[in-house]
Amino acid sequence: MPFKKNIFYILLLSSSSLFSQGGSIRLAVYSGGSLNFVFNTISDYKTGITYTNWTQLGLEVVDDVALPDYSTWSLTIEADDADADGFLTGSNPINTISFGAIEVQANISSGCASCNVFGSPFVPLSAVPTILADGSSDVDCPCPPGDQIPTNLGITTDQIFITYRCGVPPNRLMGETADYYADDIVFTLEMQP
Amino acid sequence: MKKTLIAACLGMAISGAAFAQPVSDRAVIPLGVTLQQILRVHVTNGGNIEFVFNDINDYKNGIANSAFYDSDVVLASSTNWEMHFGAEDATLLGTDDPANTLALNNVGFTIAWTGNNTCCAAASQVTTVTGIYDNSTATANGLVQYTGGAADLLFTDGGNVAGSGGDITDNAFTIHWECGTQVAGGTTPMNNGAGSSILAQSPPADRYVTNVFIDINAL
Repeated sequence: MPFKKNIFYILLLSSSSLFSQGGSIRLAVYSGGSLNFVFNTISDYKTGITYTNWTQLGLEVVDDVALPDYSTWSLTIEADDADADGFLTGSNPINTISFGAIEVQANISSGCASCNVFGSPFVPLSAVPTILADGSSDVDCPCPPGDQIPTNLGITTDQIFITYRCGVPPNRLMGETADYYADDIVFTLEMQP
Repeated sequence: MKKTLIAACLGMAISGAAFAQPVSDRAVIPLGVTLQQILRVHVTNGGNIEFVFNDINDYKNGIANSAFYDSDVVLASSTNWEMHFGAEDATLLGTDDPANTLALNNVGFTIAWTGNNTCCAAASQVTTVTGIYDNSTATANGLVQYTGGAADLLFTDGGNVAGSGGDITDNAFTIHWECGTQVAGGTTPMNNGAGSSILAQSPPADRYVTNVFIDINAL
């Protein structure tokens, strides 16, 4: 009977440990919380519009040192595409333009020494998440096997700029139907075991 | 029992790490793209053309084109476009006596495309329209009355993937005007196709006028 009692306690402890979280994560928008491209000259249509460092994101990534549950983190971008048509939709729903007409670029704004922005290429917006940054450049690496998060990030000290451009060749919007096209851009900061 | 406890502790530690759940946070940026329609035509030169017949040679052979009788037109469009081109009135009307008329197709024109967009052949960005002013890039065509329909279509989008939209450097052309020259072979022939000179038509002396509409529509 004492053996069975011990097993019960052990299972109880194990189950509580099973769902414990040894870390936390937070994403904050410091500036550039909305984005609107207005094409009202032929020059806009020919060369596109670029908003450099428009959105500033603060990243908080905390992996408990005593209980290092997580090994990777990533910042992704995707179009919400609530109507699931794969396009940016106009006020008149028959008018659509490709998400690919909008491109985004991540640059380190401050801190974020462990952030890898992969050389800051412009990547096309899409309804599928695209990784803009992750923790694979940690200065404390070589990391423990399988762990990219030996260095935590603070939301006020580790920030990333997002640059947007729309209609830049070869993704010109010349010839597209005049309308107001809208959607949401979703940034997701995620930490995984 | 001791072994069991040690094993349980190890299992607890391992399971704690192995079954940690992914955690995430999100930020949403509302995105808008406003495309405003741009459609503008501008006659930059030769907005008023006047032919003066004051010798018999003019009456017999007409007045040929020269730079003095050119109209330069540019247009800017954010979309593909088409252009209608025709006279306001069915005939040229006498100023002194409106009862005096002169056939529109005594006035003819050729078109020279000067924009960067490709023009005037099949599958080019801009094309002339088969049957209406079709060969006006090579041969003088007689002016017709404006209808806003297929009967006066001068240019339209050629179906090229690059489209016909663009600025005034992309879309520009010159109209080379002439009058009474009896040029044959136009898709819309001059002088009723009969080669009839102004002299042969013998119109009363007057100042004959009309307006020419250049009308662009977004496609």
